[in-house]
Amino acid sequence: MSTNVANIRMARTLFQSASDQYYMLDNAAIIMPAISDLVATSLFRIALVLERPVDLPLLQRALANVAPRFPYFLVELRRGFFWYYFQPSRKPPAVIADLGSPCQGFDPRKTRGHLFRVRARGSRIACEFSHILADGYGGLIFAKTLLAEYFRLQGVASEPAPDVFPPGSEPNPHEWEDAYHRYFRENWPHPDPRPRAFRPPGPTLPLGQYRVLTGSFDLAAVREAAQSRDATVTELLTAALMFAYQGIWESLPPKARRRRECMAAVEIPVNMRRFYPSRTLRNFTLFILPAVDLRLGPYTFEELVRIVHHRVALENEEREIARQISRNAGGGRKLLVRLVPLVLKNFFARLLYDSLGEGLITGLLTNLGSMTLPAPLDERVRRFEFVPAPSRSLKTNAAVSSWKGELHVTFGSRARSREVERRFFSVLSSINLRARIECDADPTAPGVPEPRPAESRTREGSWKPRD
Amino acid sequence: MEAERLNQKYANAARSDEFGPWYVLDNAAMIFPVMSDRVATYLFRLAATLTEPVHLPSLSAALARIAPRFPYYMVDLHRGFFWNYLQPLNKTPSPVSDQRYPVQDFDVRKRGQFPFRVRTRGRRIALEMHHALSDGGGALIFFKTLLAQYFRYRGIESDPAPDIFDPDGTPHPEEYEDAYNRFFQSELPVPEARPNAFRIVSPLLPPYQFRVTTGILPVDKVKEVSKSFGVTVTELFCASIMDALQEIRASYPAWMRRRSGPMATLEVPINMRKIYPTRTMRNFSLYFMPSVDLRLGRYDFGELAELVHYRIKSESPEREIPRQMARNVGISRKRYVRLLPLGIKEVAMRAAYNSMGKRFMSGGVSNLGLLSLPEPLGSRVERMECLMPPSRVTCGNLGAVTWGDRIYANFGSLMKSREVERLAFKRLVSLGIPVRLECNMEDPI
Repeated sequence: MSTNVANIRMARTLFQSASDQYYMLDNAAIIMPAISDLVATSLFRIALVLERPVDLPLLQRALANVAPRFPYFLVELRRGFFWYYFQPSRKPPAVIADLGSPCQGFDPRKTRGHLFRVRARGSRIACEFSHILADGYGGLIFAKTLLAEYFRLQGVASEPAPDVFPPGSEPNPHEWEDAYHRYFRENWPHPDPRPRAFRPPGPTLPLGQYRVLTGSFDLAAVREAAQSRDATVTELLTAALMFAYQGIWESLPPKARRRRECMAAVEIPVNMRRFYPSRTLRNFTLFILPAVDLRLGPYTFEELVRIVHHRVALENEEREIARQISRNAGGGRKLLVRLVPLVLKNFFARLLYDSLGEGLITGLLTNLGSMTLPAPLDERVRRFEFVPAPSRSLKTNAAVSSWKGELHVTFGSRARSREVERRFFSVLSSINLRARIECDADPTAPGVPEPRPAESRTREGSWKPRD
Repeated sequence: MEAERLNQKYANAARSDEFGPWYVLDNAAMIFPVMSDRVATYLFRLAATLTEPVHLPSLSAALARIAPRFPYYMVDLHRGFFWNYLQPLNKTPSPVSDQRYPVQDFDVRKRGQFPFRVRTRGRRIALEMHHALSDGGGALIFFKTLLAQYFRYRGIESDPAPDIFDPDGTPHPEEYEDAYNRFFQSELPVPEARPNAFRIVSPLLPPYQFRVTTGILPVDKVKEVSKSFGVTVTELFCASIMDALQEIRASYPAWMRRRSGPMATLEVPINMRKIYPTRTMRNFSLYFMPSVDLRLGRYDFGELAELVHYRIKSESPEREIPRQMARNVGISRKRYVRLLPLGIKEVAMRAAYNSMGKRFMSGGVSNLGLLSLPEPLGSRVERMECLMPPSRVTCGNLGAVTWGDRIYANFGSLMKSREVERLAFKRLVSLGIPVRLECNMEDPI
């Protein structure tokens, strides 16, 4: 009982100071400012491509109407002595042009402004959210609400839906709760230690560039391919990503291989709202991490699907994932940790994030599932696009979603080489899942070299060890 | 190429010098003589109950007749300066009487004594073999050959079968090779360390007492139940033992729980002969180690069965399991290990085994599966059983055999507490499997 009271107290994020209100960061977000910078901007992107060009003034009005419904997003990041915190922003959010690479040109620690931005260009509306503010679930609700309001102003009213908030309504206090703390369990064991993961070597793109490459599959065909292997779509795609890593590992000279880490581990974020009822729009995601030891390979693709399936089944359980909450939230509750000044906290956060987070991961694959929109909006949206947040050490990450019978796999990459993407799509095409590939390498941005056609084909040439 | 030559060299277990031939112990067997004593004997047992009382002279004659076909078993254990070794013993083995407590009171280090014994009483013939000599795979062939020869002397001829050797045949050199060394892959990484296992706390039985609790289960019903969970029979047994361990752990006070290891880990031997082509009659098993973390709250039985299933499935026998071989063989080939005198090796082995080997396990499940004998022998054997070696620290050691339409599941235990057996069988009964119990001690559960 005492735990419950403590949990409810800890889950509160809105506080009243002498002068104003402020919000605490949620448990997953507290580490984020320390590890974000101009490269790892922590921005992820949800973009909607409409059937018609966007009416910019109307979108601006829609944003102004919608914004008061999300007071917990209208905040600026501030440094306190012990923690970062959010201070409500007086500035109204504005729509900006969607030029240059997505998710770039933003440093959450230095911006004096909102931690999200709404961008538009042509027929595309894009919402870019910092992970400090929300996870994909929260961002998606915001994007859908904005879209519904935009169409309402255009005279197209939509049916009510649980994930589209009516703009005038009152925000529910649970929407900004820190659900990690709410579902914290005392005395729960921490996750087992894991080995560090393999990283494909290679140079990165210049600062400010982020390559987005999307492959579109026929959803039914992918589902069938997964089902025929007793796996889910996520597991099938994860196995394909591992297969790509394995190919890169195998192409390295043996000497380089011995020096490198040998685990191919793919992080699959799990929406924790599936396990614990919560309305929160802040972060509430943890991850499972299926991994294979590449020294025991080479594995066939079918074998990898089977292994991933079994590893995921072992980890994808409430009690296993709760161990991460126990570690992350438990650490933040320790008096000793709380009394350390922010400067030192940031230093340790970077160390911990590497040894317990990104260091264990080769790449990320997030599946947001199939998208829904209330009628009649669904007819007016051609597609959804998700772009994972850029990260300093994980150069290539993937986001998956499906819309109208198509499955989109979007790779966001800071790596100059497209080897991961190429190998990923080619193993899927070897099981007759052919994708239509589009790449948004932005030719208008300054300093972008012309894409070299040979780059994606040379195998050894593009994989020189980094030293 | 070099590696292959080395593997061949090490795999050759038969040596000869001016004192005559001798055999090297295989890689797994090296540790067993060191760890065994008169109570934790490292004997395992195969037993057959016939439809008629055993005719002792025929059994003695049969044993003497087949002995020359198995020269690598007709040995005794000797201490060398660096290693223990097996030396041919010029004696004819003869059956001894079977007692109430099996696999007890045996010292493998005694000279002039075979590391196995054939025991008989009433209608039962039993083979108790020390693990230094072989595993269940090898012993089963020896046992079946003995049974076939016994029946032949009783006037019942049987068809030849691949797992019944012809007593006049000559032993193939592959039969006494050390297959661990033959299939050693030096480039494989060693297995990952495992967290400590949960053990029940119980006083031991008086010395030389060994409780055997036999559950007799109808095979079709067991198969039906395991199918309903989507698991195999072995996995079902594992889950029921884990379920028992979880209940026992929950009944302990918090301080005992904190002190005990967190995992329920079972050792499930795999016969590696199915994966690597070898005829070896020595040890060649490695282990699956399905485990669940008992700190993570109560599991339903269905969850446990699923977890065991996924754990076993995610340890592929072709890739993950040979890593155990890479570790065990790799260590024994190190020059500094080989140069240590046996006495020091023994101390080190005991320390290593106590700190690593034993600590990982809460128990084990060895399922030999469906056994068969060629007709008309099959119909003359009423039941077959197997028994895992006794252990002072683990309980929940289950040896199971399917014979005909029944599964004979034997729990062997040196502990006073019968909780694991009781709860495991209770769980199986609650799943709708009728279990008939037998026990070699009074007041069965």
